[in-house]
Amino acid sequence: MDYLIVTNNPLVQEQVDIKVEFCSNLDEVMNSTRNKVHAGYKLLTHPLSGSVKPVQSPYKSIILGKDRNNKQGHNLDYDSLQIIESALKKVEQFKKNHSPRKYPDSILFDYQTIDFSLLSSGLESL
Amino acid sequence: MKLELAKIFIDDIEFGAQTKVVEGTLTINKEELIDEIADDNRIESLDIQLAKPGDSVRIMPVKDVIEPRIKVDGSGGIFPGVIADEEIVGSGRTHALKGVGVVTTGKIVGFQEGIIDMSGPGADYSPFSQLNNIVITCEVNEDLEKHIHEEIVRMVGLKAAKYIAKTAKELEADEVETYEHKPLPEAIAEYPDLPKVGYVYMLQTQGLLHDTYVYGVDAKEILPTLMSPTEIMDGAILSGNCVSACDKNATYVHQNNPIIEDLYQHHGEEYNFMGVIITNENVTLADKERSSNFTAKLAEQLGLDAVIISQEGFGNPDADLIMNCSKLETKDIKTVLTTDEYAGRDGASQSLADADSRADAVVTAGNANQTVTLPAMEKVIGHQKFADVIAGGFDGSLDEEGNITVEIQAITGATNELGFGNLTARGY
Repeated sequence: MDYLIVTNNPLVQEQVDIKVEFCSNLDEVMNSTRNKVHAGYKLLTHPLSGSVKPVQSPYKSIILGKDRNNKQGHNLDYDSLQIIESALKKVEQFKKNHSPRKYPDSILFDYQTIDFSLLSSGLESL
Repeated sequence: MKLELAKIFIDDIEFGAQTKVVEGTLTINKEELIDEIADDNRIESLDIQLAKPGDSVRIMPVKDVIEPRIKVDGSGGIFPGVIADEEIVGSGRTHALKGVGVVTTGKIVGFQEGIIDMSGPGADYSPFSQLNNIVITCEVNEDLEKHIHEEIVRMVGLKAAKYIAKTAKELEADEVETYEHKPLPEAIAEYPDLPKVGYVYMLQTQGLLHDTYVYGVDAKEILPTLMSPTEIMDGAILSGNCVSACDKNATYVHQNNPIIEDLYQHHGEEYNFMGVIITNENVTLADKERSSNFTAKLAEQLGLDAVIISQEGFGNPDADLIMNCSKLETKDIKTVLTTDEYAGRDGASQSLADADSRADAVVTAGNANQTVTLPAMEKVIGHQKFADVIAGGFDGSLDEEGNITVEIQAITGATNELGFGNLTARGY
């Protein structure tokens, strides 16, 4: 299986040696993940991992995988599609509650650390 | 397994020369308690303060709440595999100091949540506002990694509960409840005509600061397994989870799981309560599939007719909740789910991140997006300045007078998904 991490967390880029698609914000992570699912990738981790709610935490890392015999992406994983679509809806809902805000660097680093630890927990189980 | 749970009611706490309980008042020798729990050279400062119901006190950010309990008869000790050895617990006699909480606080991550107000409107939302709280503020070297900090604070809380519980050893109980979990063939034969009911207890296990321990084992690593409810009363499950205030299961909640208590209440009359299946909430979908498969398999092997499933947290665990539900229902095992909701501030949005038509019996513990204004308190134990950055807080949450406007997700235990909180839903 070919693994791919879609993320906007700078810690991931520095510390992981599998393929990473780096995004500039949470929306891009979610939309890009959906596009990858349509291109034949499966979700390997849940897009709403972590108790800190989406949007409130500005960072998200999602692990995807694609079978090598599905290079053309003809096999769509409907479970993954359903999960990412529901997650996208939830993110839109949470945006209504949290307007964009500037966090101090120390808080941003804490959010990055938590997201990275959730990702690591997923990577360990692959 | 038979456990006598002896309850000693405490209605006041104070500092004094000797740690003891006399006529419902718990006196604590502060210096002795600090000596007992601060034996870790990574701790930079540690202080203990008392917060009683009705006090104008705000505690934040709260990490965990623990009930002091001690085993006086039977094998093992409270919190096995962590501060007691690996003996199986859940038999014999345990003494519990009721009305007391050991509360740990400390700045682990900057956005860490968890408010307990001891009076005012916030006190209506947290079940821990009604306890006499022994609050430990523990700060460590700032260079330590977050999960090490969490572990230090976790151990400090457990040790404090153990020290305080020693006062209960020789005390006469105000009330004694007896709980029994029989070997399966005996349990099945005892009430052959009643439906066999189990409890699927989902534990938060996503990773750093989202962990739960079972006999000292990180529950991420377990396959679902069967436990006696009495083991859980003796602290076999404890919380290492410190990021989801409203719907995390504090150690206190594991010790006093209301679903277990209620299942015992009608056991032998309305149904036959067969035991607890614990399972996890990991981040990979493969782990979720495996754990829900094992949960459904265990329930089938036990011959269960119905189960209650509780979840801990939001989002990722919703997927586990629905997988557990749909796989059990497919095996003709009826399910009732307990959860809370993130349904937007107006309550009009979809509550969970996952759904299935087979999830047709769901109990809610409240909408975590509901907002509330918590008036300033005379005293703050911890770090109020984090109000703006905690989950449920927003820019300007904390005003100049010290009032905080937050979603109730910031309040410890407000929408506890086991129903341990104060919120309820009624039809009119």
